[in-house]
Amino acid sequence: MKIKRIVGIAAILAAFLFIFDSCTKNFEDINTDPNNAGLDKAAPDMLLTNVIEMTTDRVQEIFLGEEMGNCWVQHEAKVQYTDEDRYIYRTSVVNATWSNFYAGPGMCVTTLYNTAVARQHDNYKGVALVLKVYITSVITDLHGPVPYFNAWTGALNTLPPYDSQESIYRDIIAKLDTANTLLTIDGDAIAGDILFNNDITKWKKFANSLRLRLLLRMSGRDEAFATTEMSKIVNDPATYPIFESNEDNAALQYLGSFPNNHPLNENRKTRDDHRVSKTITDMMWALSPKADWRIAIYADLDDNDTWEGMPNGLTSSQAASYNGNGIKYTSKLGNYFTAMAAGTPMPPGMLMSYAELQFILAEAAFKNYISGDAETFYYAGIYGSYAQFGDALVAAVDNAGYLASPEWTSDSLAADFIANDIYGWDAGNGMQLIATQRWAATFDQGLQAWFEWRRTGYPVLTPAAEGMNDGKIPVRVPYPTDEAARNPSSLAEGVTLLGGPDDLNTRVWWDLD
Amino acid sequence: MRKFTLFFVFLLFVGMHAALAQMEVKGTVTDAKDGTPLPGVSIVVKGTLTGTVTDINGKFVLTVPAGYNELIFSFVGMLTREEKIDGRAVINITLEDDVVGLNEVVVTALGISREKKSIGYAVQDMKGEELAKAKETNIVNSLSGKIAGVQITNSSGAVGSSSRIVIRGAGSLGGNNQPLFVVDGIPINNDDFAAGDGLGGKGRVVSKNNGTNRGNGAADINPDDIESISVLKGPNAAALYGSRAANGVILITTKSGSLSGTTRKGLNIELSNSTTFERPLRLPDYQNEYGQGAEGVFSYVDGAGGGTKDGVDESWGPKLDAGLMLPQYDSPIVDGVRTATPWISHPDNIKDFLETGVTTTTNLAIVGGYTDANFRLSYTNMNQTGMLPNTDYKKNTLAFGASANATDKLNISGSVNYVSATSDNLPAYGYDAQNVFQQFIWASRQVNYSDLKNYTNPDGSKYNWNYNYHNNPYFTLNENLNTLDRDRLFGNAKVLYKFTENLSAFVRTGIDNYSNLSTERAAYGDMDNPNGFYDEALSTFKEINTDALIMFDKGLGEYFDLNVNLGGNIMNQNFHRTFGAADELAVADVYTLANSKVALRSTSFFREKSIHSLYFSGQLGFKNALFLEFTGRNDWSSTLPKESWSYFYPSFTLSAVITDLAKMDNKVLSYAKVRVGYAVVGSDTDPYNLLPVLSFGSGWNSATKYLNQYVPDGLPNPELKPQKVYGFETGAELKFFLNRISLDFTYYNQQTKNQIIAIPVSASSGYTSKFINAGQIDNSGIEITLGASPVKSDKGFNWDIYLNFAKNKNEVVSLAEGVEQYELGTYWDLKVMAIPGQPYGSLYGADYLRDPDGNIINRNGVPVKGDLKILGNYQPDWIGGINNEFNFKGFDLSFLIDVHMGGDVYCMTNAWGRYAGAIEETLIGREGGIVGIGVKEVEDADGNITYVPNDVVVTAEEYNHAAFTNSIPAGSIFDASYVKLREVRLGYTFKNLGNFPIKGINISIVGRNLAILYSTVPHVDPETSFTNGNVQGLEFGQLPSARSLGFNINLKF
Repeated sequence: MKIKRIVGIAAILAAFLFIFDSCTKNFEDINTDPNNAGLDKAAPDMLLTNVIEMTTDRVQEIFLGEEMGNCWVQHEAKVQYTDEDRYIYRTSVVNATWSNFYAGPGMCVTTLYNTAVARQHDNYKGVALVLKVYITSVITDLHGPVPYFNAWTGALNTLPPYDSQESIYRDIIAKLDTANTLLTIDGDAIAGDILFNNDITKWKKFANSLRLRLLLRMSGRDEAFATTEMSKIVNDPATYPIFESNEDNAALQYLGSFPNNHPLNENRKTRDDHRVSKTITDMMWALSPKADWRIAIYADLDDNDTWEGMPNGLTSSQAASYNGNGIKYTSKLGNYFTAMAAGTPMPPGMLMSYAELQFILAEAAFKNYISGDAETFYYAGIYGSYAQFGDALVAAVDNAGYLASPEWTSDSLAADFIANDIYGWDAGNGMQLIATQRWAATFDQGLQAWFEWRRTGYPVLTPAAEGMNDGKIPVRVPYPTDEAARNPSSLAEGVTLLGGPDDLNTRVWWDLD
Repeated sequence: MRKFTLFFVFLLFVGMHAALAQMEVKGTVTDAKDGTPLPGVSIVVKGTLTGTVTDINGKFVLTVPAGYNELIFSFVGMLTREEKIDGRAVINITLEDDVVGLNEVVVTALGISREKKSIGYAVQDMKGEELAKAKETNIVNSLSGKIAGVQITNSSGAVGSSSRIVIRGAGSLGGNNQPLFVVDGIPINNDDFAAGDGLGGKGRVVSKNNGTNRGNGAADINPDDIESISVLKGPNAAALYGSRAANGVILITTKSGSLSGTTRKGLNIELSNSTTFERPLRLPDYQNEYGQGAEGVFSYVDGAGGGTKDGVDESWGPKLDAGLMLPQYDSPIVDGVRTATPWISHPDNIKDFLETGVTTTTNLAIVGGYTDANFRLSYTNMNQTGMLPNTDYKKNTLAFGASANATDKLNISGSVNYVSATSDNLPAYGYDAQNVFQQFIWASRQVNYSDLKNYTNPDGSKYNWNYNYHNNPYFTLNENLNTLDRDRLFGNAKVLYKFTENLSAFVRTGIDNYSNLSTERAAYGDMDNPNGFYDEALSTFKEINTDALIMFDKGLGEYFDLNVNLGGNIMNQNFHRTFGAADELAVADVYTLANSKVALRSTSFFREKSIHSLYFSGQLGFKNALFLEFTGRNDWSSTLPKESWSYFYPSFTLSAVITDLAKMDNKVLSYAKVRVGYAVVGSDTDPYNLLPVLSFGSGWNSATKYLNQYVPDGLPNPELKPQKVYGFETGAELKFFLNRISLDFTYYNQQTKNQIIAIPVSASSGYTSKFINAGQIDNSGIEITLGASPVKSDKGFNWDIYLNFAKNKNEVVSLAEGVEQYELGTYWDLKVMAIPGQPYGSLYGADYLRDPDGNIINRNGVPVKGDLKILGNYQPDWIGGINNEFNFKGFDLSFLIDVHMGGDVYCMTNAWGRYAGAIEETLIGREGGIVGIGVKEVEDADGNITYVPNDVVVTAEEYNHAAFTNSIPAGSIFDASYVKLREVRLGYTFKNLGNFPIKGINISIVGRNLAILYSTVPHVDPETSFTNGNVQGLEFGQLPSARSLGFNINLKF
């Protein structure tokens, strides 16, 4: 009996020890995530698709691109929930913007770059650099000094220090030069490119056009540098190709259904909070001696069958009552942009347009940073902007009942507009004309339009009627409150680098008074 | 597993040597007090598993194996007697009342029954009959107010909704803070049954702010099948269950054929029915003097802004019942013109919209008790219809348990529970067009909601009072359905072998397995999804636990008794979910994934985890009055890195029955016991937190679909270590005047350290959070239970009072280096946070701008947003309950009062109701305006600002819009204290029914959640939440809690 018992107990213990010994061997297998890919399975094409989509989504995002960008630069105004239009911004949106640029596309593009380096794939490296510069420029243009040189290092540094905007700008401009060199038309092919359909030439054009944008933006701080660098690009188109037509636009063609839908179209399915700004309708239609025909594509006719804008920054109650009934008697954003009417193609998610580049060149020529005729570039910008909308513009003018004859094209509409003395080239008033037309051409590209307005001050805008920012239009987005909680000492250094209070009114480095 | 099979075979062989020589003993057991026969007395041959129970006449017959000479007679509430047989064939015996109750038996860890006096930590019990008396559909709610230190939060009055239970406060920053539920020794999953892909996205699954409450896992445990519940409160009690028991254990023993004091030998049949009716306990106090509109005007044209303020859903419009005639949504259209109709109030529009909920529970149980075997088969049907039209919840439970003595030494037992839970529609909650109660808080007050039943116009368009924000509520409830279909199986099989009188062992395998199908849909014409929507999520969960335990129990000499258990456990857990969503539907009213008009979104997710453990426990008793107990457990968890996946944690307790040790025989102090204990519990993390990965996005669905990859926001950490809970507790149990008064006091002190949390990091690192070991939360507190029997009369009138009280002091001691706040959740501009130096669960957001003296500063006559600060905290200061029971000749009456004192709640009903002009307070200043309380700024020539009393008059609409905007939550934080009349029951038991086939009848009238006796929160029940997670203290327009009234009938055949 006793022996049996001991044998029994021993058997149990032996069984247990055996099981324990053999089972912990599986632990690493059990704890290997079957839902996701290991870093060794990074696929540059799949990362690229995602970076392009996420970056464009962010730029077009309603709360950022539309409510802060478009409303503050007075392309649009709010008819309901007018807080943002009165410069009452949401801290949650600023937090989300920071996270969704840095942690989303920013981290993906870093991973794309690292993967490309490991695989010695120059074209992916070049594409990654262009996109990373684009993302970085938006973040720094929103806030000023931000983490850059030590950002995106994950576990190595979760408290990245802030870098001055000057140091960031000098680096990202140099990175675009590197990108242009890396991008090789006969090099290894890329895939997953939903922006340019794997066309390396277009990536080179985007890299150099973007470089011109950033050079001009910082030019007030270092004209000599801007002159040298811009001339180098413009004078050597073989090495430094740039956008040559609207065909080259960096614009994501959205697919029209969630989750690959344009954020504006998705928003309009359930919301109706926005109207075209009265600043636009006044300038292009109501107060203009001659029509700027783009009004037909920018604004829908209201219930009075006219283009009537909403003044910026009314209280919700004032906006609801405006013009008898703000909802009915002001113009919605044009159907070209919202694609709400059945059968309308999706609008592109614009990152940078040919028209914008022409105005960059016009300003550079006007300031003698590059050789060339400012007037030529100026008109090319206007024609380019009209051409960007092409037949859709002609149809919209026709639908509104203003088309003089069926033979009209977007070019002839542009010519008709330019015939107006006010917007004809006048070197004596060159800066204001160029900046104002850039503002008009970058309609619904609220962030970039607002950045440029901050730099140039044109067109002269009247601050929101019931604005809550001491009668001023914001020139900066304050740092996210998340940084105060998560990275406080770095943030404090960032504010020191900024050189002013962390509010809506401190100008960033490139933004000279 | 093969090793286990061999072991079973081994056990069976050892069991074959059962002796053959036997003798038969019979007799009658009677009550020593009055000589009446005692049915259901358990009789066991000492040293064997052989036994029987007495029949209805107190008689028994028992076959005694040769070599055994002693019988043990035991019966609940009576002193156990051991009687030598000494060759007698007839043994008549009397049992005495166990007046002092010293031999009370409780179920402890691993399902081992122990004398309560030998236990060195706080355990509190509840009998199954208690549960059956006033049935709750969610078992968690049954514990409310009855167990000291157990805090229950019932989320809402919605059918099938979850309840949260926390014992001794929250200890974990980001993880689970609820106790482990264990049924018959097997852990049962208590997670929320969520829908959606958990990734956010479009349609019905947007964020944690809204959704559908689909209940918590423990709610699948059927109250009718519960024999008893033991609440093991601290880590001391739970060290043997491992990690998940660090928050305490709710130990549930299901009914079986044996043990029950009322079970006769042979077949017993029990039938019971409970039917209750539910109405809202509290509706907001609405105003009924002003209707829809803004600035005092309203005129309806299209309900979307086309008329005068007719797109507005707020109630700042013209005065009602003043003879005014206005075009309205329901005004007749004559010759294309909407005619004006009387502008009148409908004060009961919400009350009338709600229906009376009905809950019926019917249980049929067949119990068989035989000499060497017993079984119980039970079927329960629970059927609930909600207070919101077209909402329901149904549960069918089939339970079977059986136990048999295969030989004198070998016992085989098992139980299986099958649960089917279904719903055709569960209501939504939160800031969501699908939550009809949200609409009732914005509530244009004059709308007669119950008039909107026909929501489709003859031309197919939707009929509603508003076309800007809300669905017709009947459309939402009848078309946008949230369905549920869950099958769950849990149970165990156990083989117990008794080697000798001192040594036994068992092997037990248990499973908890469910598959849960949740669907959500929106019909064409829905506000948020004009083209409809459909998604479905299928989750399957499986956890298998196998334990083997060797138990040794032996007296050592005259004074000592040693008891040692040695065991091992293997736990494997698998979870799998597939999710698919059709974001727009091609064809209306067909809800399948194939009907997607746009690219289908789908995800799948697997999770697997394994923990292996070896554990021991030992108890050394001295003179059956002094007990030293020690436990130790080593876990190996697959979720941790190799260097730290093995971790050990011990506990010990010491308890002394002073009255026994000192041989006190005192009429005043009948019993005194003191106890002290210390325990450590280690725990692991979730799977896959160690290594970085790349996730798959939804892809780019053009002609050629591009997949995409992304870097997840959370940064894993390959150097994680187990987290630890350290708990100290001490207590005393005192009984006075022969048990007429009993007092139990516990003090505890717990630290949860080295927590594994996803700490937020600067997104500029590329990640928004990072897994680390950091942070500490301390809980300390006292628990007191007091029982008294003020009246115990010979005529049969008894009055018992039970009081319980618990005060917990909770503090977040530290987070990670450089981290000042840890966010548990954000709801609009209110955050729920863990902040060092504060109790867990700070409600954090903007206050009003104030002057240096704390007065609210009004600008242009209205308050403005000020600093972000801690506005409150959701944890109560103390909780308690008072239960009174009266018994008189078959009648029994009981009532339970439940008290929560302290803590705060954010009341969105107040914020929205104020903003929208819907609630009573918004009548102030409707005519003549409001001068806001506080000061205004005056600037002198030098720019210095001084503060003078505010004298600027603004309209009530302007004031409420500014002061109760979402961005300033300060105005809607309230003290969440409450006193509730939780339960009242009046019952009668028919006895001595003679030859009537029904042997026992009990009928009762029961009410639950009957009244809020005290609360300062306006408009809502302060007991509110919308998940059973860590984000609490928020009221967000949930369906009000229900007051339930009904009756119970129990029949025994």
